[in-house]
Amino acid sequence: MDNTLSQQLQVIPLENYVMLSIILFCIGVIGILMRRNLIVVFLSIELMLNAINLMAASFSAYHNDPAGQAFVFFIMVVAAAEVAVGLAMLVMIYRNTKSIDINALNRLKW
Amino acid sequence: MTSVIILASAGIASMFAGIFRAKNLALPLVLMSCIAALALIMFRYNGGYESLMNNMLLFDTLSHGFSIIMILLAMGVLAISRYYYRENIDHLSDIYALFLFSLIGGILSVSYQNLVMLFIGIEALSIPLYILAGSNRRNLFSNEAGLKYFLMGSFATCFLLLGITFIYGTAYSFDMTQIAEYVQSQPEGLPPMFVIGCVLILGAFIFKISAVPFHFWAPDVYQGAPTVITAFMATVVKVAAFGALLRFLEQTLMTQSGIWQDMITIVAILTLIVGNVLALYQQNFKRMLAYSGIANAGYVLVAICATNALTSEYILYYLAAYGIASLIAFAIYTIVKEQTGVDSIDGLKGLFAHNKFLGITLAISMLSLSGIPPMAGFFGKYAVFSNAIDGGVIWPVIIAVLTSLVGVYYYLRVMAISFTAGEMPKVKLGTGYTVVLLVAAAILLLLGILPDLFTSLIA
Repeated sequence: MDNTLSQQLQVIPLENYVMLSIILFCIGVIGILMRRNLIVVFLSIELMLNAINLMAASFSAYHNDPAGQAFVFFIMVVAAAEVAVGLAMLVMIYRNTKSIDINALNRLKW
Repeated sequence: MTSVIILASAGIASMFAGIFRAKNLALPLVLMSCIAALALIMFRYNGGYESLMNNMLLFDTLSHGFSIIMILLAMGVLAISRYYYRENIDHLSDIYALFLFSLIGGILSVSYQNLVMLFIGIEALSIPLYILAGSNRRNLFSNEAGLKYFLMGSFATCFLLLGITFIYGTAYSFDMTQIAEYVQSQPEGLPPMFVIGCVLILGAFIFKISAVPFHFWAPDVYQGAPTVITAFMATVVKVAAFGALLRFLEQTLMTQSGIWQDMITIVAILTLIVGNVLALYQQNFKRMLAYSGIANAGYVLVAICATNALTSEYILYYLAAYGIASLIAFAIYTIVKEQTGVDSIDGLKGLFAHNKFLGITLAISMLSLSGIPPMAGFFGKYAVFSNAIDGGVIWPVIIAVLTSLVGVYYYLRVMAISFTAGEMPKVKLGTGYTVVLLVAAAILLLLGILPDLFTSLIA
């Protein structure tokens, strides 16, 4: 009877979910800062967003509050729009420079 | 809300105008929709509150004030874009549609009452701008500006989202009123997760308003993006980001100033120093305006440090003065660059001698930006500083006054160079430019001579 999905999820403590999300988020940050390949950089942004999704969903499951899961859908939709723009930009840059290396673009400097 | 719907449908109609080869219809359509939206907001102004979508959006006096200024500035930018896009470029109607979508994002991000709506507003403001900044597809500078803006913007958005999720994880709501109640129900101190969440959100805002330490993208993106887009970013987007920041602080963290006040004070001081000092070294006019935008963000942050009941009006006044003056400067830069190829400050020699109207409006704009009476910029700075001193913020104001003296030097240098003798061909102004420059200069003078006019409109 009381074996609902959110109770099944609560077998694992909330801290573990939060730690996992933060670790995933940090991997994403490191990926953006260290990698020079644009596609890997986009993947890192997606990783950060999905880490946030996981965290929002776990908060939502632990407090039986649906708002967090609705937020996850908002993030997914906006992330899809954002990555569409990003990939279009990648194609544009590849056509102009024949490279997807971030360092190919360093003309603007102070 | 009706105004948002009008703007959105005009944007979609403008995209269809592109499909049906009626590109010339796009600009009148877009401008008309702006006028209609402006009229609707004016009509509702002070006409009470409008709460929508389960209290996710709240149109109150503050958000109406910010929306009016944003729409006015966007109309100015659209009017000067007519000449910039005079050659028959592809996708012109899409560009106008993206302007409108971005403007809608701005309106949403100053009217939110729910953190989800803040996220949607900021993204709707930013995503069209990523495309617009890179819209000059064959130009590598524009490509680079678009990509830099996209990467930095998405990175900042991730931190905004992480902050929102942390706040949700402690307060269990995205609704600002409930978060404010939660904050008040914790007199013995907020949990660290909530504080970290607030700091992350503030960091994302600091990025969006291009304040130090997250300002480095602004000069590059401003320089690389097409000038009309730069004008839009420097005026409309900055007003929207400040509106959103002010709303966040006023509605949730007002009672817990300890969390954010020190952080904002430090950021304000750094922004003032770095923005003003780096602006001194710029030879490119557009890049100088970018640093001037950073410096002006510092003055507004000084006002935000001392938030009290009156601050939002003063901030609105200051942003209006800054936005209009920058719009004039960008309009003059655009037309001079397009017709004579000059983009350095030294190249403005002889502007006044050969183009009296441009010289005078540039002088009005620069005097207002440097804060010299009787221009609007002076009263903006005066109100911001005196209000900050009333609020007990002394040191940032002293630094702001000192750095604004540095500001006087580089603004007046532009003016002085444009008044010196030199060779410059006669610049032909279209109707759009004449109207925008005339109206903007008139508003700057009018707001400067009668500053009460504006406050009486707001109050």
